[in-house]
Amino acid sequence: MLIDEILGWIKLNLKDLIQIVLFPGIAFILIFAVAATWFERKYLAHSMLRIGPLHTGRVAGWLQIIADFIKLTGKEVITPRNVNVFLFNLLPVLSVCTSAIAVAFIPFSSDWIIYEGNGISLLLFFAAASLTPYITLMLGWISNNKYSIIGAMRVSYVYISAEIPAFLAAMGVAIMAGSFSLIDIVEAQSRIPFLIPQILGFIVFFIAFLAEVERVPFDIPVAEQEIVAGWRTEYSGINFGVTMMMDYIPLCTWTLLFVTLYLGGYQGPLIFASQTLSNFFWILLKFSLVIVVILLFRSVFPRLRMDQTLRLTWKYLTPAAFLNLIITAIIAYYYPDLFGLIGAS
Amino acid sequence: MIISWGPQHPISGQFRIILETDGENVLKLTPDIGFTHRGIEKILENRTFLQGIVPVERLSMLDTANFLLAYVRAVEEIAEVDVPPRAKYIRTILCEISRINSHLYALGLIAEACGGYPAIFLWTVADRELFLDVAEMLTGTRWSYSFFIPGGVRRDIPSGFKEKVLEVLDYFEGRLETYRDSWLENELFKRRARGVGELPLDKAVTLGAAGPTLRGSGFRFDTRKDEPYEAYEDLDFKLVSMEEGDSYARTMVRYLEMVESVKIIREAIENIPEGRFRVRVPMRVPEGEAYVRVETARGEVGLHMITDGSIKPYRVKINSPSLRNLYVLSRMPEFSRLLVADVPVVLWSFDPWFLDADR
Amino acid sequence: MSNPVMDDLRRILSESILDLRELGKRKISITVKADNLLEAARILKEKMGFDVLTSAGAIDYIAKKIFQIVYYLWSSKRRTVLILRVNIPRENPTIQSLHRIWESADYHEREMWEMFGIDVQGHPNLTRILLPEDWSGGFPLRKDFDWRGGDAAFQH
Repeated sequence: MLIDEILGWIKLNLKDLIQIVLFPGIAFILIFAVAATWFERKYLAHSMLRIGPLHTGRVAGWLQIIADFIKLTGKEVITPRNVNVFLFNLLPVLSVCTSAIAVAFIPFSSDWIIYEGNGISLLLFFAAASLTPYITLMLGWISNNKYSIIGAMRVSYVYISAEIPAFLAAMGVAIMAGSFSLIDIVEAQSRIPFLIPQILGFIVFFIAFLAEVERVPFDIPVAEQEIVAGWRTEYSGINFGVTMMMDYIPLCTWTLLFVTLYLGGYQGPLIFASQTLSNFFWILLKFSLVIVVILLFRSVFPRLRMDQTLRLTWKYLTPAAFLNLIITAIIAYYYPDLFGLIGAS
Repeated sequence: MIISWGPQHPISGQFRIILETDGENVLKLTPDIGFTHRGIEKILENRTFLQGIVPVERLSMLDTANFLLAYVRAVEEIAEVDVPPRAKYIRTILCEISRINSHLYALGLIAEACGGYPAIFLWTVADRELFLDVAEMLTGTRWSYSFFIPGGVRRDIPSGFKEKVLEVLDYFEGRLETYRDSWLENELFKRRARGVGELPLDKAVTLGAAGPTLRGSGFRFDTRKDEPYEAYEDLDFKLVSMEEGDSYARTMVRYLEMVESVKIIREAIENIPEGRFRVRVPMRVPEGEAYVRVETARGEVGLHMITDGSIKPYRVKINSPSLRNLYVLSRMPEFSRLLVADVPVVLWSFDPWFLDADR
Repeated sequence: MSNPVMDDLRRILSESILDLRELGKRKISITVKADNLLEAARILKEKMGFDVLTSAGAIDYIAKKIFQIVYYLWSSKRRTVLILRVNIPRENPTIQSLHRIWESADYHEREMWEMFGIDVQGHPNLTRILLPEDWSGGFPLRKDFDWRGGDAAFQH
């Protein structure tokens, strides 16, 4: 009886379960983290005249990342003296969970989204993604280490200063689409992606989200040469492995948002096989291209200093985002026909 | 907040800085050296003049030839030996190879210190390999050559050496342009290094800065020009100096010195005179003293040797350029605003080598 | 050929000089009386233009029962090295700090203090610089340094 009921429930919610466990959910994020780590190591190695992972897994060392992760799980977890043991071990897991939630609002096809968010999924995305720095701040604070505290402070500075321009730039997109729903935003880009009409917002958002995901040249909170490993200095073993995931999960969710907002999301010029599959193909293709560009920065740019980053975000990005928002609002109010020309609402 | 920056730190080296900070601002910077103290001055007192060659090289594993040259010249000066010109030219070539080795490493380290740009570090290490190969061809070893002995050099130039050197130099000149385009002209590097750790000229002189640190502040002094030794008198090269005195200027001075070193090697290898490459120096050196200055990659090293007529020196005092520069570094927060993020950049723009600071 | 720097030195520091000789091109060695060290140092810096102290050390003449303190000075204008020497007795060696005159004497005087046990009076921060903080094996650069003492100091 019970089993039948469970099976019936699973049958009823099969699509949701697949979404949560497999495709845009847990499995996808984990596979992305492994693949991105592998690609980054391999790519950086080549840019440094090295080879990188080679033997493990026969082909280009693809198993090396998994081997490293298994090695990390086998290592001793050292908990520093005088820390709250429960929080110290809980927070890494919590940080990964909260930052992964944001992927739920990204549409991978018009009917393939974990939670539609009653038409405000863009706002929900920001709400979910903004939880991460608080937990990172606590992570750094609870480690009772000077490097960790400096790193945690840097996280909060950089995140807040980058969040504001990113949000303002995204508002420009929301005005153009006339909706906070990410599905509507994607549908509004059916003729032309917002990259072109929102070019200023595009640039602002790109720089700001690089800062939010702590990628080069804004990897200030974990600046190895200055503060060892920032907020994750005290973590070891599997906890360290989990905090390493934090490098890639926000990168994944924010890049997906970026693709959705400016590059037309799941829409593509060509439809093949089924509608849903081609949508998956297009969003993953755009996503991979953006990821490759971001990872490439690491072998091109040195790190910016904290004050330089804050100057950039507060003095240049925020006013530029405001300007973009005002221009978009004026056009939307007085010349709504212009939007019609490019296919937006 | 007081931060113990090193010795277990990704880029501190065998060295510690005690940073007193207010948030990100550095208020006080106290270098703590001595982690690699081996007592080389004492060791030299218990070695014969020939045995002393090996410990002296351990002063600086990056720039062994120049430090050894100071020791060897001190012995020669006391023993009043005239080194044959061929040996002088060979020594000059090896010294400049050693200088390029060291400067390449320094260029890579400052790229690493600016963060997130490890590619340049490995490029420089890879190019350094070529010069190590050249040195190996001449001396038989890659780093610690032990090639200079009182009275000359150990071996004559092997056949095919000139061609090999010229081939490496041709390749390296192209690489130097790559470094300029991809690193020294990199806008973000300029932002990180320009105006960071400014060292005014008067402070640089009175606090006793040495080498590229001194020249980066606009003081035109190079022992190779001021008191030419070996073959430097005959060779044509420019004295490099920059006016700005910031981390960028110091890095640039090192870069331009590499360009000059390439020229020096080219000219020296074309003009090697024929003749002997070694003369005999007696085991027992007469009583006397000598103060010898040699321009190493990190600046002027002064080696004061006092002998008492036995087979060992009575006292050897080594005035290390790194120690002088570290003192300037410790005074840095007084005249230049430093952030925590600037500490690695300024430290490696001074390019100290803790082995020779500790001795 | 007389060296103008030598002539100036002889003229200005006439009474304190014990020994003055040329070591080589642009290298001069001068020995002054220990009592006149501070005064001579001030004159050297202010009147003679020896504005840089590149290093300082000591030599242990155990047979003569003296320490010779050696300061390596350099003039950025005259481009001349001056080796300033002072002889002090080996028993209870003390010397005035030159930190007030040449700030860069800081490290070198600390090194002199820990390596030779020379008490540098008036030094603002006379702490260990090269040796371990808990070192108790004596003064390594003295000629009568007991190596076994050094070994014992490392066996914690």
